Amino acid sequence: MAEKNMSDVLGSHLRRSILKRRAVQLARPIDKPEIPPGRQYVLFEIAKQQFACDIKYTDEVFQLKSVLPVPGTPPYILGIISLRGLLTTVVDLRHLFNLYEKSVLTSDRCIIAKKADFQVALLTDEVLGLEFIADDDIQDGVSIMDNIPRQYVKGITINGTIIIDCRHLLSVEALEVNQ
Amino acid sequence: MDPEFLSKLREAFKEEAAEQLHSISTSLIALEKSPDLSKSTIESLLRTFHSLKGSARAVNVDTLEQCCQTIESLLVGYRDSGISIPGRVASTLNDAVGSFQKTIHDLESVPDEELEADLLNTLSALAALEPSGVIAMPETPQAAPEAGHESTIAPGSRLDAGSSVRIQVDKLDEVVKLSEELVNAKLAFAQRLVECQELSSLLNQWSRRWQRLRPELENEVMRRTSLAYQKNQDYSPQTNALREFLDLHDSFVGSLMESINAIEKSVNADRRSVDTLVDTLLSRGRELTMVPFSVLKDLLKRIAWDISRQQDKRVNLKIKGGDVEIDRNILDELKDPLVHLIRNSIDHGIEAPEDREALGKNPEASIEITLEPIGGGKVRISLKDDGKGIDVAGVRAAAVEKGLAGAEKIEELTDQQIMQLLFRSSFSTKDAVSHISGRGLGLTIAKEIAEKLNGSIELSSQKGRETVIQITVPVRRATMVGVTARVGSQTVVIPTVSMRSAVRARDQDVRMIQGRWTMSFNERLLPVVRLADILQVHSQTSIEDSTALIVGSVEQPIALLVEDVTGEQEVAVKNLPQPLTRVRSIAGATQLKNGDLAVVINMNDVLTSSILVSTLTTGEFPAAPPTPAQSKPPVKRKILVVEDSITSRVLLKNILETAGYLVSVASDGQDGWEKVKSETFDLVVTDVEMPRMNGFELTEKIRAEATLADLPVIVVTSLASLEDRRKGVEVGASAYFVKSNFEKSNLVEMVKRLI
Repeated sequence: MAEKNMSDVLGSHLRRSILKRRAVQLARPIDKPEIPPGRQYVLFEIAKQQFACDIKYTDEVFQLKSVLPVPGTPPYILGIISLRGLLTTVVDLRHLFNLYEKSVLTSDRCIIAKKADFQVALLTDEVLGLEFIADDDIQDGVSIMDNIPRQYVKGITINGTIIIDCRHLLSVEALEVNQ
Repeated sequence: MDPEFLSKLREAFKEEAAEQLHSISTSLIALEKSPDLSKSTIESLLRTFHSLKGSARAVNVDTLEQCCQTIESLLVGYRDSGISIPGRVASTLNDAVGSFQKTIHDLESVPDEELEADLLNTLSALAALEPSGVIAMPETPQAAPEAGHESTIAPGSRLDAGSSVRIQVDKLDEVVKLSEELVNAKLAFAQRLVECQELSSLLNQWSRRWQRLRPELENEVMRRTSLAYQKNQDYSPQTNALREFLDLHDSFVGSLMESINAIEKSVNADRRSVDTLVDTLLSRGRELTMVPFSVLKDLLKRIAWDISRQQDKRVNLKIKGGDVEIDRNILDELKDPLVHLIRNSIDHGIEAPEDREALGKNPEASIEITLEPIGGGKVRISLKDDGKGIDVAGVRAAAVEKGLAGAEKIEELTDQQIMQLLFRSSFSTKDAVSHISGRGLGLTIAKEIAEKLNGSIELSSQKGRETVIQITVPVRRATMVGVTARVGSQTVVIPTVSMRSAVRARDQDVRMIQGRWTMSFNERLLPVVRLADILQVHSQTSIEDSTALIVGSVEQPIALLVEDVTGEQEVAVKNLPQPLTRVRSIAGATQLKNGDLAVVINMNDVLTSSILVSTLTTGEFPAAPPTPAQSKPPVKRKILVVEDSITSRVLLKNILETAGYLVSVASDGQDGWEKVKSETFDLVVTDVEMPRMNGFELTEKIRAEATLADLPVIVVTSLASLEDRRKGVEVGASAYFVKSNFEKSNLVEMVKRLI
């Protein structure tokens, strides 16, 4: 009786240690599904051309109500607006990207683009939404984007979406008006 | 004292003191990092040491009490003298705090005698710091008067945290900005009220119409009813419905009107309360950023002390009216010019102590800064020193010598006008002049800032006795009164201070004279320029239908045309947002009372715009005062042509020689610069794009040189862009020609006008 008990105890001990080992084996971190390196982008359209902005440089999308033109500024400066009390410059990328002739529609959708303290509102024809774009899908597309100044562009996707180089575009140096 | 009570008291003391020491050491660390820390840090240190002293006395730790006393006097000295606390002192204080912490930790567990012995070392170290001569010692031990009552607080009770909190200025600004945005809520309410009124008037109209038709309808119902009655029939369902509707309609419309009226009333009441709240919030918000001038006191005193020590001079800086409150931003702007002015004053204005004594003056010189609110939201800051004053004759001589203008012109200037010359950077920076004037670049800087802040600066002096500089600035930033005017489709704000009057153009004698629009005003012939042209805004309003603003200097007034003046209001000017660093003719933007944004005009830029400059140089408007050159007999004028392209160079040379000028050539900007310096020319014609030095750089260099500052420069270039044109004007070009629409007669004509 006592012996049987003993073997029971041993058996259960053994079983438990086997279970434990299996549990440890099973508890390995699950292989994560393969996510290619890349990031989220805000997609928008200007003059029938799709553009994408890294989401970390965007703040909000809003409807432009009225904009005050500032006399004497270059055409890419549409004007200024007061965004919750903060004066913000509205930039018309069509002029910066030489897309003006192709553009027909103007919409009132703006994206607030931000880098540190620097903030501007980018006028778009349409904001299309968010999309994940893998780094591998971005190609260097110099030949296709002949009219857009090279320094503002990071690349182009297979679908023809132009990835804007926000780090360069969103700076006083790139857009400054200093007369 | 009852030992049991004492020990209870000491427990409480330990807790309280630990807290106080923590706060002290935080302040000390901050102080060590930046010794320039303001008075408020010292003030708070003082308060804490003072209450620690009181508690220590209450629990019989006498040496600690003495240490605190010593520290207090030390800090009071630094506070009152405005000298920053040296690192050596700060570190000794730190050590002292360390030993206090140990004492408090060991209190009750270690015999008092031992603790006291340790503290005595600290005390002697502290005492060694004390008398450094410069530091004024306080007469009474009651050093921190604000903290006086705290000594009576029983130990163990919590320190009163005070009724104020520190807020980062950025955060405050953000809140103020947001509250400004509430203006929109105000406007929205007004709009809702209008909508309610419209609705109620529509309903009224309906009701009146209904009242007119009602008898007809009633008759119809009656007719049908009696008809049915006559035929002994039941009423038709339609007749029934019609009768019911008639009965219902009145009560329905009545209740609708009632509710609309009720809504209108409550909207109106809400609007009024929102209006009041928003207005109050806005004005309180602006008050929040106001600080007394005395926050600069320490800094200014220290500067004065430092500089006078370096120069072995003795100066007593006094500030009167330091409690006048000024917007923090304005005070920030004023800080630099004030520092410069004090530096200049000590450098050049104040004599060495022995010289002063020889002159019978107090060897200790005095610089007095007085603040006086002068109404209209402005404050006058005068900075007066009792130094040697300004030698006007000397400045006059130097002006002639430096070639600032012809000798005969200098002779005509009054003493006051001569002193105005000192504000010119090209003049005041000259060593010789600084020496004579007793002033330096500080005046130029102060003038720039004062004007930027919409203020003014004046200089007066009595030779050998004093120099007084008066700066008048608004106490609140960028709230200024502006005229709202329509230009093209835009409303712009024009600072009221920059204009003298506004008249309707049709009421004045507006005429075309020699191809230029002119206007007679107060028996003077004024050039007429449209603001729309300067801003390059499209405008269709004819000159006759415009309103003329009289702007510019007294000597050279200008009629600036706008389409219409719509009103005048106080506006808060904001800088243009990034990336608009500077836009010509635009000073900033503001939100108007109706909620719209509008740009604010920079009148200085407008008055120096190329259009205006060319109008003035080509029209028959006597520039005041007439230049001596005009009275000279005609001689062959010398022109320098600076151009890198050989073809253009030969072409220009030929054109100008044909017109009867003596022409020299240079092959690029550098070459041109050397020639301009070595020979005398009456005019320079330069290309823009050239190797080594471009035309803009050349123009800038010419303008910066006092002897050449008045030499006319015509810029000829293939660049047609507006930016370049502006750049040309900005660097000081007298005229600008674009090669693409280049006509030789034009150039010759322009040359003729300029020389």
